[in-house]
Amino acid sequence: MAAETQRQTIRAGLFFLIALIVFVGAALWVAGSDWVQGPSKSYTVKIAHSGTLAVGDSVVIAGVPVGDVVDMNLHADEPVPVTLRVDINPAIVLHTDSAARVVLLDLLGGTALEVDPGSRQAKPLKPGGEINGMASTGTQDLMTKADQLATRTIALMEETQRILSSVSHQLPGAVNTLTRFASSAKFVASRLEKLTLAFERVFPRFVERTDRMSVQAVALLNQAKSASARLEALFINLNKALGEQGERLGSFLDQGQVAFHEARAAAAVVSANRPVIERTLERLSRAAASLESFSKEIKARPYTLFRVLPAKDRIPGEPAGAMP
Amino acid sequence: MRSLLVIAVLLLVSCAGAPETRYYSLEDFTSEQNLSCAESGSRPMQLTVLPFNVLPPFNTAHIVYRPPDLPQTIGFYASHRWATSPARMLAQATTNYLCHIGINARLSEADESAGKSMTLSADVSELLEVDTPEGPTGQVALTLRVQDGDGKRLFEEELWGRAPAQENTVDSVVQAIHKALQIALSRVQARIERLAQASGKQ
Repeated sequence: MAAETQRQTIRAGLFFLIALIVFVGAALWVAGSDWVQGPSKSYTVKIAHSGTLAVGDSVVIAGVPVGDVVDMNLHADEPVPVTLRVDINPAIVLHTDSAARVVLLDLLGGTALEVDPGSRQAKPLKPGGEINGMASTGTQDLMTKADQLATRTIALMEETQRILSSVSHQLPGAVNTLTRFASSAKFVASRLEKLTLAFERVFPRFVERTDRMSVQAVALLNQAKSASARLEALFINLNKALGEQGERLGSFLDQGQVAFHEARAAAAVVSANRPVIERTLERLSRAAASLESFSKEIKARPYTLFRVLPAKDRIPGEPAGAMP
Repeated sequence: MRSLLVIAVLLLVSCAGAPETRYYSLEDFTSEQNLSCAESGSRPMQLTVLPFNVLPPFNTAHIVYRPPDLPQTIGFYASHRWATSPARMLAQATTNYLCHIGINARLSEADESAGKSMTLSADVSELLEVDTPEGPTGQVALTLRVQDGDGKRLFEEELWGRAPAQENTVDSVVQAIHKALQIALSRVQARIERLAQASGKQ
């Protein structure tokens, strides 16, 4: 009975010991202990600018933490002044063309060292080897872009401010213009209303006049018909006057021709007596000139036509009596 | 001796039969009206009156008449004559009239230039006694013109005037002729006064 109890105690102790070992092993595995995963591989990284990277920051590959930055040294007199020592999970195989650079994890300033394990064609990098450091272009680019964005945002805000200022300056004028426009519109509306009223007054008279004009137009058309009838009658009378085939017209033309011959003969007579006629006209012209001169003389000196009595004395107002 | 006596008797008879010649002038009625110009020797001359041009048959010393029964006939008084030539007598009477209305006028001598003052001249076409059924009248007709100092004609006007004689005497007829001249001149009095005022302002 005592032996049985002893065996059971040993079994319980072994179970507890095994469970403890498994628990510790699991804890170490979760914590990444070298005891579980084996010792980390240490590498050296030389980089020109470390940014905000500090000892203890993670080393990531494609965003997955694979190690830590364990040391950081500055050699200010060298072209690549910062030397980092990183420990990386031994399961990770790096190659000789691997590279590392500082990346920004979040906008709060968290940084990490991102490692590019290199190509499979290159040789594996031995622990203690040097990983090529690259400039932290990501951070710089982000800052630069942020700066550019800020610059553009500031410019945009300034432009917006100017526009708002211009609008605020022009707004009173626009308001005045709108006020005047409203006043003008009101004035036009008033005129239109008056015009409408006037049209309403005038329109009946307009219609009345139009009616009168229509009546006059009808009368005019009737007169035109009458005139057309008269014209037709005139044509008939003219045809009668001309006679059939224009015989009366021919007679009239014959008479005209005779008269023309007679006039021609008279002109010949006048032409034959032209010197006599010219002399007569010249005498008439002289007589007219003399008559005009005489008329002027009489007008200027009417008393030249008066008869003159012989000089004698008399009593004023006394009749002259019979002329001697 | 007998012959001398006969000649003396004939001379006495002829002198007794010849009517006495009487002379008349329009100035007889204007002697008191010329005082205005006579006292204004220091004032600038406004108007110079040139001797008038009297047309025939009135350019004679005999006073002309037109009898009432023969309107197309004129006659000359044998012994009633103008004391001076009608041309100068009428110009003098016009000068006296202008002086009377306050214009400083004077009669120009025959050979005298008018200078820079305005000149007045006239053509007289009627100067006679016209006998009407109502009695004798004096009648004057003239064309009057006024020129500035440069000879530019300012105006020309045909004037006419007639005035009745108060009595049937030649004296009264001459007075009527003087009145007729004043009537004719009164028709242009206002224009002459305006021209004289304008001339005085310059």
